[in-house]
Amino acid sequence: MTNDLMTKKYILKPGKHQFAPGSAAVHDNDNISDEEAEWYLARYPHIANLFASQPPEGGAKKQEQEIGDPNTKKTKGVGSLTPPSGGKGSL
Amino acid sequence: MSIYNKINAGFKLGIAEPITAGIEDVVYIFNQDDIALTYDITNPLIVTGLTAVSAAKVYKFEGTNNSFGTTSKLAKTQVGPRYTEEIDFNIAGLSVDIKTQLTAMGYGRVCAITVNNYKSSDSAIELFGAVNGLILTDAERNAADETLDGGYKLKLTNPDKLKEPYPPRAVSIAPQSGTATYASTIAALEALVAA
Repeated sequence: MTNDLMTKKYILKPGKHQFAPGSAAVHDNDNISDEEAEWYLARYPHIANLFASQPPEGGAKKQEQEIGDPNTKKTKGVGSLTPPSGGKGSL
Repeated sequence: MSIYNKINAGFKLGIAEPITAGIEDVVYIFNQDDIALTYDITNPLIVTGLTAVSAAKVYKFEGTNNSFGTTSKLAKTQVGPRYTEEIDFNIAGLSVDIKTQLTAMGYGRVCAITVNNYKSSDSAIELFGAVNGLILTDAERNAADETLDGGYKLKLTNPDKLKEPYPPRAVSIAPQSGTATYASTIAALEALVAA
């Protein structure tokens, strides 16, 4: 059920959490996968604060795809080093 | 399975931190379904976080002259110990808004947090009604009463036939980094209080 802790994208803060007020406090970092975290976050947006870290917009799967695609990464890197003017006369 | 029916520590009387009576004249009240609770990973007696649903708030009721009080009492049942809880407080006012809040507390379930005068412990701040909530069972206003001078005498207790499975929970909320203290817990509470 749980993802490997090293690759897990959604990390719950320490403790046993209620996601819905009044429920039993059963959610902790050891029993929630990234998929479950995304499912709960979509339905209970207030629990966002209970997570220590979250992947960027689009969720964990999208982030994995971006990391796995070298072309996307390279283009991004070059883009971030090149000034908007194209590099001429920027200094 | 944890050993739940064996004591594992005693108590030593000392003069370093003698117990003192009473609670501060403030009670934080919130609708039970407005705030999600986080408990300590190993100890359900400790609440380590309060998370508001949407823009929900905690409401602070202030009093004076040591007029607020709390009671928790073990109630023996055939399935083990349960606890009844009571919070006595008052509102030194009279308005439509106050009446509206009191009516709501009579219908819906709330939870309440109080602050003990005895601060030298990890139970300085306590949450009542964690599982089944509390309901307003007494709301008395005697216009001629000199004790409250026409204010409201109020009591929050467990709803009919319901008890809590544990004594009042200690609230202990850590800051962004570091360990939980009385100050960090009060700061977290105040951050949720409606302006």
